[in-house]
Amino acid sequence: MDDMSNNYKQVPESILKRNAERQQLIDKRKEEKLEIGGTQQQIDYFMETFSKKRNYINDTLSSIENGAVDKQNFADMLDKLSKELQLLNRFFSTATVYLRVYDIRKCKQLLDDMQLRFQQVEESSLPKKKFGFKSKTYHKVLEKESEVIKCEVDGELKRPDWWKNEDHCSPGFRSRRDETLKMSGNELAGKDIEISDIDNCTITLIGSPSTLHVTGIRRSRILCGPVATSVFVENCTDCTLVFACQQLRIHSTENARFYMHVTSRAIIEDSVGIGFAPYNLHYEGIDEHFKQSALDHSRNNWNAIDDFNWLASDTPSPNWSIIEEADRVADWNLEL
Amino acid sequence: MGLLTVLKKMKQKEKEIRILMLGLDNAGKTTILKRFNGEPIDTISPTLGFNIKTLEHRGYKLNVWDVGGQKSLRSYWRNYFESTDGLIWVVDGADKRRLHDCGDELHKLLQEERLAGATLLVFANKQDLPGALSAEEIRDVLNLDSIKTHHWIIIKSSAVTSENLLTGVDWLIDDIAARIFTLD
Ligand SMILES: Nc1nc2c(ncn2[C@@H]2O[C@H](COP(=O)(O)OP(=O)(O)O)[C@@H](O)[C@H]2O)c(=O)[nH]1
Ligand SMILES: [Mg+2]
Repeated sequence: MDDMSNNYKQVPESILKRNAERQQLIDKRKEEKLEIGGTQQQIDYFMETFSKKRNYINDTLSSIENGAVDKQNFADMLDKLSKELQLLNRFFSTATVYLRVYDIRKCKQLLDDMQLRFQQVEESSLPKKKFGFKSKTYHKVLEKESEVIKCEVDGELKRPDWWKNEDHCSPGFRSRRDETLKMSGNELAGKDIEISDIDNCTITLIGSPSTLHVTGIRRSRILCGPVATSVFVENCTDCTLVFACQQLRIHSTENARFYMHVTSRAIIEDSVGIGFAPYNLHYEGIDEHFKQSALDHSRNNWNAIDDFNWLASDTPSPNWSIIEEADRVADWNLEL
Repeated sequence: MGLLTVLKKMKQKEKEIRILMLGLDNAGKTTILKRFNGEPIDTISPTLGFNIKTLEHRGYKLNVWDVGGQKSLRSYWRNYFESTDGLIWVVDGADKRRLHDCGDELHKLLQEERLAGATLLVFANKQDLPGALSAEEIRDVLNLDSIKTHHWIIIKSSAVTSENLLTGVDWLIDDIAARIFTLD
């Protein structure tokens, strides 16, 4: 402290003052702590409780490690344990005001060890590569869980007055019936396009949007040039969809055929009766649009689909299949 | 050496920050993470489980958990809450249809006891898209002003152009560091 005060001479008055105030505050707090803390009784009580809790956590971890716990209960057990750990951490933090330096160090080390062990147990109880705890009947279980999420939300959130879904619309088509619709070139280039609430239409998008949202479509056909990033599909039934993109995400969709070029991966969730075939859209200028989109023309994972409701790796998902060559549409007869 | 000094030293030695990145699927979480790590972003697949990255930034060790946002995965988010110092909530600014969903999920999350005290950074992502809502608009729809339990900020970003990614994370680190690496 003394040797430092020399340096203070060059420091502006205001900072010196602030520092002095801060130092006073720190000293005051230290004093307060010394006053309230330190009775042997308190320390003993803490040590006793801490070690009880610690034994409980370690015993539970051991029983999981030894396989004494039913796999079905893993998630709940781990959840409970992590809460216990959290509580113990908090108990410890509040006790640091009266614990001795040695105790603090020791308990901190013990807590860290438990946390590490917990993480190891957690990791090893998760299926290796695939995700989730309940792998066998994923299919049905998850449908139920997503419903729960919807109604679990309690209390209406306040929305600003200006907010109505119709107000802020991206370019695209909404609420159309029995029509043939088209967009092209600059209407699409680099844009976020939204197609929603469509029945019995044919929609052709000749160009390269940045991203595409397709929701609430029935009995329709949608064809689109190369999309630079992702295509997001939700709630579509009895449709044929022709897309090239980086990612394709299909949710809550039934009986739909996808002709696609996807450079990373397509996924489906809560969907059934989905067919896949390679992208076969041709029109003048499509090569230019591929260039604009920066999609890799030579990489197409159209037949490697991840089903979020089917994570069992040994059997294929019943929710999607490859469209037989004989059944594929060969020519889309674009009217340009 | 006082108790406070001891505690402070113990934390500082590690300088480790645990960050959880959540949001609806397709918001750009994985892309943001890869951008940060200088990896290519055009080969990113939809996240089937989670990604963990440890990044060194400004002398801190950031453990970033990027967890899939599909409906079927949201009920597993809670398995990652433990010891979270910072929460990055990524919003797809161009996905207006699901913005209410997005707000509901966020507010549900903030009620989680195990996330109490975590600093919240909201990225209003995909600002490179012409139809994207501004950060102010998203703040309104998500009703962020009602959040009194967490330090929070919303910043417009783009994982494609890298706009503001660093600014956001720097704010997050500063806020966390002020809280956990000093005790006075
Ligand atoms: N235009 C645009 N697209 C983005 C941005 N961030 C991510 N994307 C795209 O959005 C899609 C989903 O991104 P991803 O990181 O997988 O989303 P996640 O589900 O939140 O992890 C990908 O096709 C990305 O290329 C962005 O800032 N702007
Ligand atoms: Mg992801």
